[in-house]
Amino acid sequence: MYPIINKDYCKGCNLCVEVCPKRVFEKGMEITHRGYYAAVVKYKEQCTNFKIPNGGKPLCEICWLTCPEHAIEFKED
Amino acid sequence: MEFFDFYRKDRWPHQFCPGCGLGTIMNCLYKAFNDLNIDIDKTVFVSGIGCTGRVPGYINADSLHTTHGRAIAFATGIKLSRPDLNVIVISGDGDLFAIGGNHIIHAARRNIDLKVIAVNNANYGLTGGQMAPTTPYNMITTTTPYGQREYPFALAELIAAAGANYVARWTTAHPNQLVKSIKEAMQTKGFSFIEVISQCPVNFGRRNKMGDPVFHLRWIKDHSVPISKMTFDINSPYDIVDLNTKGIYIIGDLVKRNRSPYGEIEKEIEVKGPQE
Repeated sequence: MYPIINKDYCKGCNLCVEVCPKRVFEKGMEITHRGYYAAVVKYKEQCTNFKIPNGGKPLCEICWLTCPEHAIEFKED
Repeated sequence: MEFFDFYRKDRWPHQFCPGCGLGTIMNCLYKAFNDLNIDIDKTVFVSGIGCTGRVPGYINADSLHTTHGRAIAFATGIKLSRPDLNVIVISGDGDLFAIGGNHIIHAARRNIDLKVIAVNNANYGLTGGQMAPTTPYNMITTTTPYGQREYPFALAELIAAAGANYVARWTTAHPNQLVKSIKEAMQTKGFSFIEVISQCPVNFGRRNKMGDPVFHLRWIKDHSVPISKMTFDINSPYDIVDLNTKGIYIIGDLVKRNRSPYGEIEKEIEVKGPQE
């Protein structure tokens, strides 16, 4: 289970980069089709939820809770 | 309940500015409703005018978008005519405290069973960042280019003094605590009030060297003090309201009372009958 960023919704505020305690995210350098610099998931294996098996409830949802655009979703492997 | 059962997917992405704290509050609201398993068909969302007044438009439930400052008055009417509904007021500081200040004070005094979420972004964000009654001292806004020279309201303390049953203040930098607080407010009978300090990077932060939402969130986090670390010594240089004037926010649950709400006082009188 790891976070992915939905580029249709992300407005490039980089709050996920600030709040993630494991530094999973990084500022994006490529412009999206909506004209924002969307953040990217750089180190997905550092995420606290990465070791959780399928169907588990996420342990830490601080990026999901903070993201104002609901652009972060958790994806199962 | 999935996220897009609670919010309308056809309206997404919402029209708030990049980095606005309202999205965080919307996530927290969804999570609290999802954890408590509240039926949103039995819930009414009431809002006033302002950026925060747009939030109920995205929620997949019945909602009222009322006139400026009268959100509490409309919500009181709903609650008294249909006491079986949960009535939640989501509005901003300009709507609830600047133009509608007396409504909310008297609703808190009567202890009507409303849940109020007041989003405090310290200025009038929708209309271009004018000074509000909640702007901290010496902060720069459009109408105070040399710094604000008035002292702000301490919203949560004001409502606590007016007699609400549950009063808390949290910020968008503490989303997990905010979820817990919304859950507590939903389970409390009587007037429950949560003040949420939110970032407004475009209109407030930009004029105070916090144009990046990350800087504004850091500022909020640095300027919030947990209530457990506060000492209520009368000889201390700052009291609890003085701190608020400097833009330092005391976060935590301020008041938990157990007064009977407005509707139930009437029922008690009916049961007892006239005194002989």
